Amino acid sequence: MATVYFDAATRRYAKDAPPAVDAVTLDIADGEFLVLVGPSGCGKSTSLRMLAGLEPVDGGRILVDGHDQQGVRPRDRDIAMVFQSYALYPNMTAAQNMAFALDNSKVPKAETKERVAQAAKILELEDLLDRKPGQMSGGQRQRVAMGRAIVRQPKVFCMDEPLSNLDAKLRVSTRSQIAGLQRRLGITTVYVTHDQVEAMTMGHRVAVLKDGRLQQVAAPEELYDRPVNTFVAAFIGSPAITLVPTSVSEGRAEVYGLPVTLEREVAARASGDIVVGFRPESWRIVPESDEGGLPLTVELVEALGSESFVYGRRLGDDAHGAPDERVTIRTDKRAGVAVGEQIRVRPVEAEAHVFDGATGERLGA
Amino acid sequence: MSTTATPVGSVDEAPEPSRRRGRRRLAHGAEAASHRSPAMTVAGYVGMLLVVLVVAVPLFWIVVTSLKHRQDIYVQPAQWLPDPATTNNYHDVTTRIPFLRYLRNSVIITVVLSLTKIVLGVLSAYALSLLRFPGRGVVFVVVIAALMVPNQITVISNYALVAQLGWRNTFQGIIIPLAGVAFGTFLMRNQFLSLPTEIIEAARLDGAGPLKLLWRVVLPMSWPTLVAFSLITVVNEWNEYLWPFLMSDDERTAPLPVGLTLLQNNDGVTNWGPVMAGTVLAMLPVLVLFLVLQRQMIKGLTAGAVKS
Amino acid sequence: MNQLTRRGLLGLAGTAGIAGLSACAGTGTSGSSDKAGGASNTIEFWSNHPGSSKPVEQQIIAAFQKENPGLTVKLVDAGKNYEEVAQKFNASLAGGQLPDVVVVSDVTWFNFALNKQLSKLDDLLGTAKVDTGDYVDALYNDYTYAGGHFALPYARSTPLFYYNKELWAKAGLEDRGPKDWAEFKEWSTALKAAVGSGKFAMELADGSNYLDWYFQNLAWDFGGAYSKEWQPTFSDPNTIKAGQFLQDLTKAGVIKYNATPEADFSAGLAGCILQSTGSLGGITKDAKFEFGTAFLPGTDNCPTGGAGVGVPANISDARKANAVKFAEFLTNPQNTVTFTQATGYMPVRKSAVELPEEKTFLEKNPNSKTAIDQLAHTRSQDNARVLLPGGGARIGKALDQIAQGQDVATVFKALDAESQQVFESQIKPKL
Repeated sequence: MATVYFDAATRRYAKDAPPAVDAVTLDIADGEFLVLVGPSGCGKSTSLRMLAGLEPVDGGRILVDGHDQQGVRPRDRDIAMVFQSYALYPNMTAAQNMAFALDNSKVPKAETKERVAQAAKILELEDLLDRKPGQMSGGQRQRVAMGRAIVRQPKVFCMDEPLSNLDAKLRVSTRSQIAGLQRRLGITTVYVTHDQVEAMTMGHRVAVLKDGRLQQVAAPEELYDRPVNTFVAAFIGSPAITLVPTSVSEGRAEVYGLPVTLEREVAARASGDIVVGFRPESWRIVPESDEGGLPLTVELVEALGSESFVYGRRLGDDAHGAPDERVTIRTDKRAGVAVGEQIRVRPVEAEAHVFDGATGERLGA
Repeated sequence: MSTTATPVGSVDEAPEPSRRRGRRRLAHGAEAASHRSPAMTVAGYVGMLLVVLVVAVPLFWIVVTSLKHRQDIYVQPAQWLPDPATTNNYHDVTTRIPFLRYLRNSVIITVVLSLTKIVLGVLSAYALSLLRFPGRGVVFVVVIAALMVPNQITVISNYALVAQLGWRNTFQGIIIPLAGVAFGTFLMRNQFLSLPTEIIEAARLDGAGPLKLLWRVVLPMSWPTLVAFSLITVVNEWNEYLWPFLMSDDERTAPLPVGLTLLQNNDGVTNWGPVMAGTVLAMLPVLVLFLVLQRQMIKGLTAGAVKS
Repeated sequence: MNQLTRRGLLGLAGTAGIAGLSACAGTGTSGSSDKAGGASNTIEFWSNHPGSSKPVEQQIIAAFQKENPGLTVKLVDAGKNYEEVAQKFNASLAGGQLPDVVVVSDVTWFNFALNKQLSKLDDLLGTAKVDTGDYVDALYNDYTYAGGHFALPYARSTPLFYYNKELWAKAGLEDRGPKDWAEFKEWSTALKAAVGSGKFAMELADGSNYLDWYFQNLAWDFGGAYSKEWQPTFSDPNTIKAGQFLQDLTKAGVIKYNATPEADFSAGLAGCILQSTGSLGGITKDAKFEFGTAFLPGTDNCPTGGAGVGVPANISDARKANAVKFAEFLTNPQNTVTFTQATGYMPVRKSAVELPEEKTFLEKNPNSKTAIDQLAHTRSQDNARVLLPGGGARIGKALDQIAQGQDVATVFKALDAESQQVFESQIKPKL
């Protein structure tokens, strides 16, 4: 068990190219489950591989337990990794796969056996120990890959999208299993995903990366409630937040022609161009007769059972904005709207996210 | 729109087009192939039959000729079965030339050379594909360049060197100059590079040192290629002619292919019976080896390594 | 692959020694004659055992060692044919460890002599008091160059005319070979009718199998030749006439070409063939019918062929003296008889035919006698075939083209130019 500290860690694949990982600074506590998330190519996998020693660190440092890992070989770092493809040894049985690392570090046979048995029990792999990867299903292989990491009792787990090759249902159940297992073992874990649901549900904290730069590290709720910029706001949350570029004057902004009063402290810092965002749950459907409501044509209704999402497009003949802007609205179970119908909505002003129009930075608290 | 909780957002959500996506689509191809028209099936069998004939008839002819009396070899119409059959030719081979000594020499040369070549090939390929060291690219280019040099060019100069060492008509004189392995290096390197990188990385993280990585992880996954390479090497060494011919003076070191030429008449009519018998006898060991190893070659052992 | 794959290199330390050796293509630091190694009382004899003669050679060697107790002869398997012996000898020239006596064929000896790699034997033979006058002149003089001789005739052969007596009878022909090619042409109609479809009146070796050797006889019969001294004479009208004759008979379906006509002849597929005397033993064993041998068509125009034995130039004088002693012994009247009776080659000594065992042998084997009788009617081969580098192959290729129907004059004209050019570039500067 260990702390991990990325100290302005940088990775440059080519001299002239922009860095794949650009001066990322991250402090991961002992026993923490940190999720690295971002769109593809954002550098999250590279960061993980740098930690594991599979990629060099071209600038800055990575510390594990306060020790600089520069020059430490992967096999000496005591870091276990679970790969997206599982990377099981095809010529070995599940048990041999799990015992391989222990054999290499000369752990006594009896202890190895004990630890493998324990891991197999946790992962419900007991019946599969003599099978080779070729004879297992995807989910079983995934569990063997987990087991291979667990038996080592390493300082750090690195997981590189370990669920992305599973089908949707298995992914959901495995998600909670991994999270639960990590809490139980208390091993510092860095988990890479591009799936924001995994990000929101599994980690203690989530680090959002974009173009190699760290955008925000925070607990999932914080990330959702107080995204530091428009990128994080748009990336976190499903369906996505509706962001509207507009301008502010005298503490008010117009959102698709609707006047929105900003909170005082926000208004005090805002000037000129801003971006105002409302999450789907921050819209209310108002009666047709409410002339002040934003008129929309319903394009799509996603009824999920407990709730529904309504995707509306502004009426094209409205003079206040471009015709292709969409608004996403969350409603209760019975939305009571149909595609093609016209509705009117109003945002909840207090729940507005306001960002600087030029920098995209969050304004206000 | 999906009804599950997959991300929906303004951010690019395409899955990472990463190099570690799986690489197996073969199952679909096999399925498609099983639904063919009868005409295609027949054409397929006819094609196979033709290929079998092309390969089998000369072999059959060799075996049949080896069992014929001399007068029956050149007759019109051709005799398809030896009548009467005789084993005299086999007796001839083992008495007219010191067959067993040539066989022993062939075995010594082939075993030592093949083992050396396989070990060198695997180790060098491993170094050139999975270990990092300065100048790796240059070394590889040099090895490949070596493949391009025709052996006729180097034979004379090698002969000079080996003769000066006093190694003519010795096993080391025959074996050592043949022991280099650009072909094996090339073949095995490509095989190693085709292995999923994550497995290598996983083994490194699991604390496997270079030799353990090679022995426990890389080689087991490369088994079919290694067997094929070994087989090619053995067959090649078994049939090696030019260099052993130049180096050896007599049956103390000459291998079978050189020895068998003594059965042929240099200038005049060759009695093909013993020559064919000798060919059959020389073929047998390699044939047996091939039958033993061919199943190993067909088995793909990377199945299940990465993804499904 | 094979040896070209050797520079394995492999950065792996333990293998460095081996890799180092296999990597270096060392060139022998040649020069001094003692690099040629070899003990002076051991004679290394490099032979391809022409005519499967290894047992006979061993027998002769045993006799030699008995007569010369201080000397040992080591018989080396130097190849499966003359070209391989030349190749192995070439390699040793670059690298040392030369043989003492080496088999050289009618087409390989000259290049070695030209490059001063074979000893001029005349003085050595003189010192050893060998009566060179007893060698059959035509055979001995085949190895003349720059006023000396560079080999002793050993496994010498000439072509013979082999014919199927049953077929001859069926065609109503006299039991003999044709007097000349014109007569053969007269016979060809009857032969073609008698032999039947799917078979041929005559088969000849193709251009890759010494058609150029046999065709010499045809060219000479028509008054042509391959060359006069070093001057190629392929476009001589008479040579062209011979080429045209061959092409006409081919087109008429009388002659067919084949890699091993002796096999077809033995199987009864060919009515007659031109083949080396060396094939006599084999055909006798293989043929299930009665066959005869005759002189080649024409008068005094049978080419010689086969191989002799030479002595390398770069060995010590002591070794040379021993080598000549052995070479002479190998070809002395008694041994040439032993050797030729076992193989079908021809005795190279005039006095050999006077030996009683040879007389008895020839009485019993009339077909062998044909060859020996023909010996008096042989003619040394043209330089363009045997002395020009690549001559045989070059002429063989041209003859293949003629057999396939290309214009004779054009082919021969090109051959003339090509031969001339080879002479200018490769021989003339060294003469």
